[in-house]
Amino acid sequence: MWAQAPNTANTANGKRLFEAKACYQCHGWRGQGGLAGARLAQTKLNLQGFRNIIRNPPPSNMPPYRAAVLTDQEVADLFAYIQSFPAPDPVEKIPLLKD
Amino acid sequence: MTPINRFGMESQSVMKPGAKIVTISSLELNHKSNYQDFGRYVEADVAITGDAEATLPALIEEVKRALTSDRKRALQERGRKVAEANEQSRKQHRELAAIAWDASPISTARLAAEIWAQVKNEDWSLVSWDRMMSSWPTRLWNFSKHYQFIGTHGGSGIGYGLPAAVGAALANKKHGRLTINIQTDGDLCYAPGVLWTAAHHQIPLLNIMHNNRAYHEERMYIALLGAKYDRSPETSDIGTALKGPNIDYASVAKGFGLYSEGPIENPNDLGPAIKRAIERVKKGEPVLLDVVTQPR
Repeated sequence: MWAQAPNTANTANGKRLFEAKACYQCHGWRGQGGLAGARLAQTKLNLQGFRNIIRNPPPSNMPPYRAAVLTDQEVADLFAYIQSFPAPDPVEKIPLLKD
Repeated sequence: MTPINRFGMESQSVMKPGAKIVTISSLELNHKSNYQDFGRYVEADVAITGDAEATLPALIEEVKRALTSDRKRALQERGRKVAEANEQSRKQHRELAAIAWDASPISTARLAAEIWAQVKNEDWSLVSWDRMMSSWPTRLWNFSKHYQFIGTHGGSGIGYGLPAAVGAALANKKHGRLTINIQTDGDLCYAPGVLWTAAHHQIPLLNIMHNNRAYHEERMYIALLGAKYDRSPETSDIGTALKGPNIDYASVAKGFGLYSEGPIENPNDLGPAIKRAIERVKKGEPVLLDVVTQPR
Protein backbone atom coordinates (compact mmCIF):
# COMPACT_ATOMS: atom_id res chain seq x y z
CA MET A 1 0.00 0.00 0.00
CA TRP A 2 1.39 3.41 -0.95
CA ALA A 3 0.61 6.60 0.93
CA GLN A 4 2.03 8.45 -2.03
CA ALA A 5 1.90 7.65 -5.72
CA PRO A 6 4.54 5.06 -6.69
CA ASN A 7 7.74 6.30 -8.28
CA THR A 8 6.64 4.87 -11.61
CA ALA A 9 3.56 7.13 -11.71
CA ASN A 10 3.44 9.58 -14.60
CA THR A 11 1.96 12.90 -13.50
CA ALA A 12 1.78 14.26 -17.06
CA ASN A 13 -0.21 11.25 -18.16
CA GLY A 14 -2.42 11.70 -15.09
CA LYS A 15 -3.15 15.24 -16.21
CA ARG A 16 -4.08 13.99 -19.67
CA LEU A 17 -6.35 11.32 -18.20
CA PHE A 18 -8.00 13.81 -15.83
CA GLU A 19 -9.36 15.59 -18.90
CA ALA A 20 -9.80 12.62 -21.26
CA LYS A 21 -11.74 10.53 -18.73
CA ALA A 22 -13.84 13.59 -17.90
CA CYS A 23 -12.87 13.60 -14.19
CA TYR A 24 -12.75 17.42 -14.23
CA GLN A 25 -16.45 17.65 -15.01
CA CYS A 26 -17.61 16.65 -11.54
CA HIS A 27 -14.44 17.21 -9.51
CA GLY A 28 -13.30 20.52 -11.06
CA TRP A 29 -10.09 21.38 -12.91
CA ARG A 30 -8.24 21.82 -9.60
CA GLY A 31 -10.02 18.95 -7.87
CA GLN A 32 -12.03 21.39 -5.78
CA GLY A 33 -15.14 19.23 -5.92
CA GLY A 34 -18.74 20.37 -5.79
CA LEU A 35 -22.23 18.94 -5.57
CA ALA A 36 -21.54 16.65 -8.53
CA GLY A 37 -18.27 15.20 -7.24
CA ALA A 38 -16.08 14.93 -4.16
CA ARG A 39 -13.11 17.17 -3.46
CA LEU A 40 -9.87 15.57 -4.68
CA ALA A 41 -7.44 18.37 -3.84
CA GLN A 42 -5.45 17.54 -0.70
CA THR A 43 -7.07 14.14 -0.55
CA LYS A 44 -6.42 12.06 2.54
CA LEU A 45 -6.84 8.85 0.56
CA ASN A 46 -3.86 6.66 -0.24
CA LEU A 47 -3.50 5.05 -3.65
CA GLN A 48 -5.31 1.88 -2.64
CA GLY A 49 -8.26 3.81 -1.22
CA PHE A 50 -8.35 5.99 -4.32
CA ARG A 51 -8.36 2.93 -6.59
CA ASN A 52 -11.08 1.25 -4.52
CA ILE A 53 -13.39 4.22 -4.97
CA ILE A 54 -12.73 4.38 -8.71
CA ARG A 55 -13.43 0.65 -9.11
CA ASN A 56 -16.38 0.44 -6.71
CA PRO A 57 -17.79 3.86 -5.94
CA PRO A 58 -20.42 4.22 -3.21
CA PRO A 59 -24.00 4.85 -4.43
CA SER A 60 -23.66 8.16 -6.25
CA ASN A 61 -23.20 9.53 -9.76
CA MET A 62 -19.56 8.38 -9.84
CA PRO A 63 -19.01 6.05 -12.82
CA PRO A 64 -17.45 2.70 -11.82
CA TYR A 65 -14.26 2.65 -13.90
CA ARG A 66 -12.93 -0.88 -14.12
CA ALA A 67 -9.54 -1.88 -15.57
CA ALA A 68 -10.94 -1.90 -19.13
CA VAL A 69 -11.44 1.85 -18.82
CA LEU A 70 -8.59 2.76 -16.43
CA THR A 71 -5.67 0.40 -15.81
CA ASP A 72 -4.00 0.25 -12.41
CA GLN A 73 -1.06 2.17 -13.86
CA GLU A 74 -3.41 4.87 -15.15
CA VAL A 75 -5.08 5.08 -11.74
CA ALA A 76 -1.62 5.60 -10.23
CA ASP A 77 -0.89 8.31 -12.81
CA LEU A 78 -4.17 10.04 -11.98
CA PHE A 79 -3.41 9.81 -8.26
CA ALA A 80 0.00 11.40 -8.84
CA TYR A 81 -1.62 14.25 -10.75
CA ILE A 82 -4.24 14.81 -8.07
CA GLN A 83 -1.51 15.05 -5.45
CA SER A 84 0.09 17.84 -7.46
CA PHE A 85 -2.88 20.21 -6.99
CA PRO A 86 -1.73 23.34 -5.15
CA ALA A 87 -2.90 23.92 -1.58
CA PRO A 88 -5.39 26.82 -1.36
CA ASP A 89 -4.66 30.04 0.47
CA PRO A 90 -6.18 30.15 3.96
CA VAL A 91 -9.62 31.78 4.03
CA GLU A 92 -8.21 34.58 6.19
CA LYS A 93 -6.11 35.74 3.24
CA ILE A 94 -9.12 35.99 0.89
CA PRO A 95 -11.12 39.14 1.75
CA LEU A 96 -14.27 38.03 -0.10
CA LEU A 97 -14.50 34.88 2.02
CA LYS A 98 -14.08 36.55 5.38
CA ASP A 99 -17.72 37.52 5.92
CA MET B 1 -37.77 10.10 -0.94
CA THR B 2 -34.50 11.53 -2.19
CA PRO B 3 -33.08 10.18 -5.47
CA ILE B 4 -29.53 8.93 -4.90
CA ASN B 5 -28.31 8.76 -8.46
CA ARG B 6 -28.91 10.25 -11.87
CA PHE B 7 -30.97 7.32 -13.09
CA GLY B 8 -33.66 8.17 -10.56
CA MET B 9 -34.38 4.50 -10.01
CA GLU B 10 -33.02 4.34 -6.50
CA SER B 11 -34.04 6.57 -3.66
CA GLN B 12 -33.84 6.65 0.08
CA SER B 13 -35.93 8.30 2.76
CA VAL B 14 -34.25 10.98 4.82
CA MET B 15 -37.06 11.03 7.38
CA LYS B 16 -36.80 9.70 10.92
CA PRO B 17 -38.53 6.30 11.01
CA GLY B 18 -42.10 6.64 12.22
CA ALA B 19 -42.30 10.39 11.60
CA LYS B 20 -45.66 11.55 10.27
CA ILE B 21 -45.53 13.75 7.17
CA VAL B 22 -48.25 16.32 6.49
CA THR B 23 -47.85 18.52 3.44
CA ILE B 24 -49.65 21.73 2.44
CA SER B 25 -48.92 22.64 -1.15
CA SER B 26 -50.41 23.70 -4.44
CA LEU B 27 -47.99 21.39 -6.25
CA GLU B 28 -50.68 18.78 -6.82
CA LEU B 29 -52.57 21.30 -8.97
CA ASN B 30 -49.54 21.78 -11.19
CA HIS B 31 -49.11 18.19 -12.34
CA LYS B 32 -49.86 17.86 -15.99
CA SER B 33 -48.10 15.73 -18.57
CA ASN B 34 -44.43 16.11 -17.69
CA TYR B 35 -43.05 12.60 -17.15
CA GLN B 36 -41.01 13.92 -14.25
CA ASP B 37 -44.20 14.58 -12.28
CA PHE B 38 -45.41 11.04 -12.09
CA GLY B 39 -44.33 8.77 -9.30
CA ARG B 40 -42.39 11.57 -7.64
CA TYR B 41 -44.92 12.59 -5.03
CA VAL B 42 -43.79 13.05 -1.45
CA GLU B 43 -44.78 10.02 0.58
CA ALA B 44 -47.06 12.01 2.85
CA ASP B 45 -49.42 10.63 5.50
CA VAL B 46 -51.73 13.56 4.83
CA ALA B 47 -51.39 15.63 1.65
CA ILE B 48 -53.41 18.84 1.79
CA THR B 49 -53.80 20.82 -1.41
CA GLY B 50 -53.70 24.48 -0.47
CA ASP B 51 -51.77 27.73 -0.43
CA ALA B 52 -48.69 27.27 1.76
CA GLU B 53 -47.99 31.01 1.98
CA ALA B 54 -51.52 31.75 3.19
CA THR B 55 -51.55 28.79 5.58
CA LEU B 56 -48.19 29.12 7.29
CA PRO B 57 -48.78 32.19 9.52
CA ALA B 58 -51.91 30.66 11.07
CA LEU B 59 -50.24 27.26 11.35
CA ILE B 60 -47.23 28.73 13.16
CA GLU B 61 -49.48 30.45 15.70
CA GLU B 62 -51.43 27.24 16.27
CA VAL B 63 -48.24 25.26 16.82
CA LYS B 64 -46.98 27.88 19.27
CA ARG B 65 -50.21 27.60 21.28
CA ALA B 66 -49.88 23.82 21.43
CA LEU B 67 -46.32 23.90 22.78
CA THR B 68 -45.74 22.93 26.38
CA SER B 69 -42.88 24.56 28.28
CA ASP B 70 -40.90 21.29 28.04
CA ARG B 71 -41.29 21.26 24.28
CA LYS B 72 -40.30 24.92 24.09
CA ARG B 73 -37.08 24.15 25.95
CA ALA B 74 -36.42 21.17 23.68
CA LEU B 75 -36.96 23.31 20.60
CA GLN B 76 -34.67 26.05 21.90
CA GLU B 77 -31.98 23.44 22.46
CA ARG B 78 -32.52 22.05 18.99
CA GLY B 79 -32.35 25.58 17.56
CA ARG B 80 -29.03 26.16 19.31
CA LYS B 81 -27.62 22.96 17.82
CA VAL B 82 -28.89 23.82 14.35
CA ALA B 83 -27.35 27.30 14.58
CA GLU B 84 -24.00 25.80 15.60
CA ALA B 85 -24.15 23.26 12.79
CA ASN B 86 -25.04 26.02 10.34
CA GLU B 87 -22.09 28.15 11.43
CA GLN B 88 -19.76 25.16 11.16
CA SER B 89 -21.15 24.36 7.73
CA ARG B 90 -20.65 27.94 6.49
CA LYS B 91 -17.07 27.88 7.74
CA GLN B 92 -16.48 24.66 5.82
CA HIS B 93 -18.06 26.11 2.68
CA ARG B 94 -15.71 29.10 2.81
CA GLU B 95 -12.73 26.77 3.14
CA LEU B 96 -13.88 24.76 0.14
CA ALA B 97 -14.49 27.96 -1.84
CA ALA B 98 -10.84 28.88 -1.37
CA ILE B 99 -9.75 25.90 -3.50
CA ALA B 100 -9.23 26.95 -7.12
CA TRP B 101 -9.85 30.57 -6.09
CA ASP B 102 -7.47 31.92 -8.75
CA ALA B 103 -8.21 29.26 -11.37
CA SER B 104 -9.20 29.88 -14.97
CA PRO B 105 -11.76 28.74 -16.06
CA ILE B 106 -13.22 30.59 -13.10
CA SER B 107 -14.49 28.45 -10.22
CA THR B 108 -18.20 28.65 -9.53
CA ALA B 109 -17.43 29.45 -5.89
CA ARG B 110 -15.36 32.46 -6.95
CA LEU B 111 -18.13 33.56 -9.30
CA ALA B 112 -20.70 33.40 -6.49
CA ALA B 113 -18.43 35.23 -4.04
CA GLU B 114 -17.66 38.01 -6.53
CA ILE B 115 -21.36 38.56 -7.27
CA TRP B 116 -22.21 38.56 -3.56
CA ALA B 117 -19.60 41.22 -2.83
CA GLN B 118 -21.33 43.54 -5.30
CA VAL B 119 -24.98 42.82 -4.45
CA LYS B 120 -25.10 42.15 -0.71
CA ASN B 121 -25.99 45.75 0.15
CA GLU B 122 -28.68 45.94 -2.55
CA ASP B 123 -32.31 44.78 -2.49
CA TRP B 124 -31.52 41.76 -4.64
CA SER B 125 -33.37 38.79 -6.08
CA LEU B 126 -31.66 35.70 -7.51
CA VAL B 127 -33.93 34.32 -10.23
CA SER B 128 -31.97 31.27 -11.35
CA TRP B 129 -31.52 27.78 -9.99
CA ASP B 130 -28.05 27.43 -8.49
CA ARG B 131 -27.62 23.66 -8.45
CA MET B 132 -25.62 23.72 -11.70
CA MET B 133 -22.98 25.77 -9.92
CA SER B 134 -22.79 23.50 -6.90
CA SER B 135 -25.30 25.75 -5.09
CA TRP B 136 -22.56 28.24 -4.21
CA PRO B 137 -24.98 31.18 -3.82
CA THR B 138 -27.02 29.14 -1.35
CA ARG B 139 -23.82 28.18 0.46
CA LEU B 140 -22.18 31.63 0.59
CA TRP B 141 -24.93 34.24 0.39
CA ASN B 142 -27.33 35.34 3.12
CA PHE B 143 -30.91 34.67 2.00
CA SER B 144 -33.41 36.36 4.30
CA LYS B 145 -36.39 37.31 2.10
CA HIS B 146 -38.74 35.06 0.18
CA TYR B 147 -38.23 36.86 -3.13
CA GLN B 148 -34.48 36.36 -3.03
CA PHE B 149 -34.75 32.89 -4.57
CA ILE B 150 -37.07 31.81 -7.34
CA GLY B 151 -36.72 28.08 -6.71
CA THR B 152 -36.14 25.31 -9.19
CA HIS B 153 -37.28 24.94 -12.76
CA GLY B 154 -40.57 23.59 -13.99
CA GLY B 155 -38.91 21.49 -16.68
CA SER B 156 -35.24 20.58 -16.80
CA GLY B 157 -33.29 20.64 -20.04
CA ILE B 158 -35.74 22.66 -22.12
CA GLY B 159 -34.31 26.15 -21.79
CA TYR B 160 -36.42 27.24 -18.84
CA GLY B 161 -33.82 29.46 -17.22
CA LEU B 162 -33.58 32.59 -19.35
CA PRO B 163 -37.30 33.09 -20.10
CA ALA B 164 -38.11 32.49 -16.42
CA ALA B 165 -35.47 35.01 -15.40
CA VAL B 166 -36.87 37.67 -17.73
CA GLY B 167 -40.36 37.03 -16.35
CA ALA B 168 -39.13 37.27 -12.77
CA ALA B 169 -37.21 40.44 -13.60
CA LEU B 170 -40.40 41.96 -14.99
CA ALA B 171 -42.19 41.08 -11.74
CA ASN B 172 -39.34 42.62 -9.72
CA LYS B 173 -39.19 45.80 -11.80
CA LYS B 174 -41.98 47.63 -10.00
CA HIS B 175 -40.29 46.88 -6.66
CA GLY B 176 -36.98 48.31 -7.84
CA ARG B 177 -35.14 45.11 -6.97
CA LEU B 178 -31.79 44.19 -8.47
CA THR B 179 -32.57 40.99 -10.37
CA ILE B 180 -29.70 38.55 -10.86
CA ASN B 181 -29.75 35.64 -13.30
CA ILE B 182 -26.74 33.31 -13.27
CA GLN B 183 -27.36 31.85 -16.69
CA THR B 184 -26.12 28.45 -17.86
CA ASP B 185 -24.82 28.43 -21.44
CA GLY B 186 -26.65 25.43 -22.83
CA ASP B 187 -29.94 26.66 -21.40
CA LEU B 188 -29.53 30.03 -23.12
CA CYS B 189 -29.18 28.35 -26.51
CA TYR B 190 -32.80 27.16 -26.43
CA ALA B 191 -34.57 30.53 -26.45
CA PRO B 192 -32.05 33.37 -26.78
CA GLY B 193 -34.71 35.58 -28.38
CA VAL B 194 -36.03 36.45 -24.95
CA LEU B 195 -32.97 38.69 -24.61
CA TRP B 196 -34.56 40.88 -27.26
CA THR B 197 -37.79 40.89 -25.25
CA ALA B 198 -35.85 42.16 -22.22
CA ALA B 199 -34.13 44.84 -24.31
CA HIS B 200 -37.33 45.87 -26.11
CA HIS B 201 -39.28 46.30 -22.88
CA GLN B 202 -36.28 47.66 -20.94
CA ILE B 203 -36.51 45.06 -18.20
CA PRO B 204 -33.65 45.57 -15.73
CA LEU B 205 -31.80 42.26 -15.40
CA LEU B 206 -28.22 41.32 -14.55
CA ASN B 207 -27.42 38.19 -16.60
CA ILE B 208 -24.12 36.57 -15.67
CA MET B 209 -23.15 33.61 -17.80
CA HIS B 210 -22.05 30.39 -16.13
CA ASN B 211 -20.39 29.48 -19.41
CA ASN B 212 -18.81 26.06 -18.91
CA ARG B 213 -18.93 25.37 -22.64
CA ALA B 214 -20.84 22.09 -22.51
CA TYR B 215 -24.02 20.29 -21.65
CA HIS B 216 -22.16 18.68 -18.73
CA GLU B 217 -25.25 17.13 -17.20
CA GLU B 218 -25.71 15.05 -20.32
CA ARG B 219 -22.00 14.29 -20.61
CA MET B 220 -21.93 13.07 -17.00
CA TYR B 221 -24.90 10.88 -17.70
CA ILE B 222 -23.19 9.37 -20.75
CA ALA B 223 -20.01 8.71 -18.74
CA LEU B 224 -22.00 7.02 -15.98
CA LEU B 225 -24.05 4.89 -18.33
CA GLY B 226 -21.05 3.97 -20.49
CA ALA B 227 -18.98 2.90 -17.49
CA LYS B 228 -21.55 0.25 -16.65
CA TYR B 229 -20.56 -1.39 -19.95
CA ASP B 230 -16.80 -0.69 -19.64
CA ARG B 231 -16.93 2.01 -22.26
CA SER B 232 -14.43 4.83 -21.90
CA PRO B 233 -15.89 8.35 -21.56
CA GLU B 234 -13.28 9.76 -23.96
CA THR B 235 -15.83 10.44 -26.68
CA SER B 236 -18.59 11.59 -24.36
CA ASP B 237 -18.04 15.17 -25.50
CA ILE B 238 -19.53 14.40 -28.91
CA GLY B 239 -22.83 16.25 -29.06
CA THR B 240 -22.42 17.58 -25.53
CA ALA B 241 -19.50 20.03 -25.69
CA LEU B 242 -20.21 23.56 -26.91
CA LYS B 243 -16.79 24.23 -28.42
CA GLY B 244 -15.26 24.49 -31.89
CA PRO B 245 -16.21 27.31 -32.11
CA ASN B 246 -16.74 28.68 -28.62
CA ILE B 247 -20.00 30.61 -28.44
CA ASP B 248 -19.47 34.35 -27.97
CA TYR B 249 -22.40 35.15 -25.69
CA ALA B 250 -21.40 38.80 -25.32
CA SER B 251 -21.81 39.21 -29.08
CA VAL B 252 -25.06 37.25 -29.03
CA ALA B 253 -26.44 39.56 -26.34
CA LYS B 254 -25.18 42.65 -28.13
CA GLY B 255 -26.98 41.49 -31.25
CA PHE B 256 -30.23 41.40 -29.29
CA GLY B 257 -29.64 44.95 -28.05
CA LEU B 258 -28.07 44.39 -24.63
CA TYR B 259 -24.99 45.94 -23.07
CA SER B 260 -22.54 43.08 -22.65
CA GLU B 261 -18.98 42.20 -21.73
CA GLY B 262 -16.88 39.09 -22.09
CA PRO B 263 -15.70 36.45 -22.35
CA ILE B 264 -14.22 37.01 -18.87
CA GLU B 265 -11.61 34.37 -18.08
CA ASN B 266 -9.47 36.06 -15.44
CA PRO B 267 -11.19 35.93 -12.01
CA ASN B 268 -9.60 39.25 -11.07
CA ASP B 269 -11.59 40.94 -13.86
CA LEU B 270 -14.91 39.77 -12.46
CA GLY B 271 -15.53 42.28 -9.65
CA PRO B 272 -15.04 45.44 -11.76
CA ALA B 273 -17.13 43.98 -14.61
CA ILE B 274 -20.02 43.12 -12.27
CA LYS B 275 -19.85 46.60 -10.79
CA ARG B 276 -20.07 48.21 -14.25
CA ALA B 277 -22.95 45.91 -15.16
CA ILE B 278 -24.93 46.77 -12.02
CA GLU B 279 -24.63 50.48 -12.81
CA ARG B 280 -26.32 49.80 -16.16
CA VAL B 281 -29.03 47.62 -14.59
CA LYS B 282 -29.82 50.34 -12.08
CA LYS B 283 -30.52 52.64 -15.01
CA GLY B 284 -33.17 50.18 -16.16
CA GLU B 285 -31.32 48.02 -18.69
CA PRO B 286 -30.82 44.30 -19.12
CA VAL B 287 -27.11 43.41 -19.38
CA LEU B 288 -25.08 40.27 -19.91
CA LEU B 289 -21.60 39.32 -18.73
CA ASP B 290 -20.09 36.23 -20.34
CA VAL B 291 -17.99 34.42 -17.70
CA VAL B 292 -16.04 31.30 -18.64
CA THR B 293 -16.45 28.90 -15.74
CA GLN B 294 -15.60 25.47 -14.42
CA PRO B 295 -18.25 22.80 -15.07
CA ARG B 296 -19.89 22.83 -11.63
